[in-house]
Amino acid sequence: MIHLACVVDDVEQAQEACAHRLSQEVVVTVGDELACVCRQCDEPVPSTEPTALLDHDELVRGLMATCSSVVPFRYGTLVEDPDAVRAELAPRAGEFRELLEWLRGRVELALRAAPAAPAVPPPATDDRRDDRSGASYLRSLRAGGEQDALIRLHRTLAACAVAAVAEPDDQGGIKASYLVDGQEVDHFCRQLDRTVTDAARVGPVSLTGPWAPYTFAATFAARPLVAAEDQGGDDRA
Amino acid sequence: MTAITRSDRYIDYDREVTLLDLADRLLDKGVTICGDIVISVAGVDLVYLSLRALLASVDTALDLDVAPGIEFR
Repeated sequence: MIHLACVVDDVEQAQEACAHRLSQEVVVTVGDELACVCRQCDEPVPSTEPTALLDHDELVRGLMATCSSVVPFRYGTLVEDPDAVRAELAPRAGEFRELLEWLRGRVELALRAAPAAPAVPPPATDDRRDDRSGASYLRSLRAGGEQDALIRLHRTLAACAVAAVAEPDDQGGIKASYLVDGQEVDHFCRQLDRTVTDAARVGPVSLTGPWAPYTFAATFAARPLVAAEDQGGDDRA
Repeated sequence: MTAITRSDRYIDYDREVTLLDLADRLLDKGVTICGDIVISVAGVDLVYLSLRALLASVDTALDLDVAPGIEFR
């Protein structure tokens, strides 16, 4: 079986980059303009050990650097052989070219932001009077204020991005992804710095990246995508 | 991950956060085609468990000073 890594539109660069790697990548050309970079997979399931994930990501990010644009596949996507790769991709070649053009020169940044105070669950009780207690009222006000602060943080950052998506995490915070022009990463970080400094209700914040645009490749393929720039800084989150 | 100049304050080098973000992206995002995706949802949970177990065991080893050669940025 063949384990798919990503699609690029610089066939020569992909072949050149893979020729210099120690592991055995397979570059399957699809027409004249697309190449799918894959690896032989001798196991029934690709390894999910952290080293395997890191190695896979290193391959994709390396190609993003040399080919300027990649469309990463979801990890674990297997097809039978190179002919099956072509059969899958050729009918969607136009879609992949459009997506590669949109992603060119852009990277993904990943944000995790927690509320200033961890979410406090209400006491487990059937007594309805507790629901109207001052403590309950203050708890709901605080939770609302902290969620508003996280939403404001996300919206401010989304305005610096080409596209953005966010979802709540299970700790009362948010996980968000931003598609940013490569040369705008510093600006994005400065904006994050300013926003976090001004926002007392935002707790610990972490930003990782730059990643290959995994989130936005998937979002684009599952139209409709609403880009931040199309909404005057708002986004689909 | 590669470093970004002048952005070190926010680009996180914490191993656990980076691995979780990596797993989030590789296993749950990316384009899908009609080929087989053999990492199931249950498999994703197992990967997270595996990551956490690995990181916990590394932390424990560091706490116990049994792996003095390991350094984290």
